[in-house]
Amino acid sequence: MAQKIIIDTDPGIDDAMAILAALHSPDLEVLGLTTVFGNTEVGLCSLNALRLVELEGNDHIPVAQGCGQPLVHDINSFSAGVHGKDGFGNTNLPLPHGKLDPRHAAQFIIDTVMANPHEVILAPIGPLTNIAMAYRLEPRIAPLVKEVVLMGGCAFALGNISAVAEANIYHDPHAAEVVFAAPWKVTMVGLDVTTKIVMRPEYFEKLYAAGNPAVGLLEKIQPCYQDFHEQIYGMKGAIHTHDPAVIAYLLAPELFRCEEMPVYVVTEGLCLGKTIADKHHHVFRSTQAGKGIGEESVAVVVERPSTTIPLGVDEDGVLELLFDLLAK
Amino acid sequence: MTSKIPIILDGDPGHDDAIAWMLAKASDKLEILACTSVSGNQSIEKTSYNARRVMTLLGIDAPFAMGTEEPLHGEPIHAGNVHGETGLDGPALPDPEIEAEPLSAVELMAKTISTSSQPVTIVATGPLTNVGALLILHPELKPRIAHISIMGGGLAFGNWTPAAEFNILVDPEAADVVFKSGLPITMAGLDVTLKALVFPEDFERIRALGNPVAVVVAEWLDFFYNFHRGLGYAGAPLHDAVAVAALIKPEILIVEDYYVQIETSGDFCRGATVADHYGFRQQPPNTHALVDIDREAFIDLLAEAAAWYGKESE
Repeated sequence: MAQKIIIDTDPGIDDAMAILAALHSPDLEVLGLTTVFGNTEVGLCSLNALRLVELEGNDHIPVAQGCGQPLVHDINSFSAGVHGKDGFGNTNLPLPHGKLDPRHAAQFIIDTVMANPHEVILAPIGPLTNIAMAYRLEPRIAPLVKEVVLMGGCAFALGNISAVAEANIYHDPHAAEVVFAAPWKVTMVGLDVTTKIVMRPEYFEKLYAAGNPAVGLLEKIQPCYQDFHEQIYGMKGAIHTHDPAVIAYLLAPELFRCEEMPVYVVTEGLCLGKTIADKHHHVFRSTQAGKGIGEESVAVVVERPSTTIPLGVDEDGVLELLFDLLAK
Repeated sequence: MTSKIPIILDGDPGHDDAIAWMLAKASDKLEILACTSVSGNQSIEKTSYNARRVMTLLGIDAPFAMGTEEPLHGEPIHAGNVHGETGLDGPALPDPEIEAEPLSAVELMAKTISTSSQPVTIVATGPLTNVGALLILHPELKPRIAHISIMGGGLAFGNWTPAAEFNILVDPEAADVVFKSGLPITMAGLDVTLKALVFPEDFERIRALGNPVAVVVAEWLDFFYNFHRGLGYAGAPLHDAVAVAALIKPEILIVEDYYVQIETSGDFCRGATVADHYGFRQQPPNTHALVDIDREAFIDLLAEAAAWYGKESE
């Protein structure tokens, strides 16, 4: 039986690739897309989500719009330089025909999880605002969610939106902190692996030759994303594979080498949005000893659940898996 | 013939500090003007005693002065779990023949720098308490400081907390002063020092040199590795020695220049060295961050330095 998932997303060029790969997979049943601000404003993200379900006749899949801003602070920035102002590489595609689900994304998540207890994997590939709000509104979903497999963070790698923070976490660090602290199973597919999965121009050339609507859309929107990777990293048309890595993980976790450890999120200071992967349990031990790490106190009384963190990846395996899905 | 680089060795010996000092003394490129101790790997009493013993063992004939137990702010942190009860557990060492000068580490640094004919390089392999205090108390000496080569920090992660490396964590305020000083800084952080691994077969190569210093160095490595093996390391990461190697053989290191800020607050990231590797802050770089090392060449450097002590005693 196909694995039921909800993709919470801010499409977004790599979001589009992830969603299309998921829609092409017979092993995944996408119960809905929920949208969030991030790569661009939430309204534009919702239009893109509708375009994605309509592209190949998946209109039956509901799209519910969610939060347009972070839980606590103001929006620090959209990633317009990365994904274009419209989120799809400034392609300004025709408007979708469909309508949004009337519910807020957080309510959609709650309703769907309650109706499918222990069966749904939440796959957030944008800021974690909706996921945190769903849990806050209805904490009873936590044990009923099968797993949260998110794209975000960096355990032992440098950041991609600040020195130390990954963009999805940085856009709403407080929400991320809620998600990592909640009593459910979380897997953090972060920069530790996503920057090790590189799609190169030859890969795209072959992929676009498949000629289906999905790769047709990717061919249109991708150049903006490639330009960004060239500007920042000098990658000459190649890109890091962020959001689609979540879909690869869902379908073939054996392609990833994981470790488990508690994760905390920094919500202040120079390191805002940094994911603290507490491999040696410093935070808990220093709290138990009545001392903070360093010298300031950390208000933690029980150790939080461990997060599964992929740290190694079979790059070729992931690229092949995604190719086969998208070219289908 | 180029003249030697005049240096002050400021550290908290500590096994890797001691080996760093061994490397410095054996180099014909460096001239040790003074040694100072700082609280860190162990209490100031212990690191000072160790500094004097190590100077005696190595034959470092330079003035020595003690730092203070307290960092600029907050409580001291020690690393007895890594370096043992004495801060330099392992082989028996000679009784110290060096006495501490009757002035503070900071004042000895100031005196040394102000009387040196050339600008002085400070090699700081412990917390930056003394260096920070020097810059606060004697800003007029900045033009006479050529370079500060530190072991500390890490661009992507820490070792004492998830975000902070020990030397910076012990005294982030002092580190903040140093990184804001505008002086040239070379930072041997965890990015490079965890690659400066000395493997057990390297210990044997050094032990086989047979001179008294080489044998002690091998035994320090035995002790230091024993702790790190428990953490899953394949060798002993010789953190502090990289800060000296950077002066003697810069060509074996890869350097990247960044604007680095020290996080001094917060529950999780106090003591983090935050490197603006994207240039978002539009500040000129203040740090030469070492990120990789030719490990084989580093081991050769260590072995050649240890061998030098055999030639000395002949």
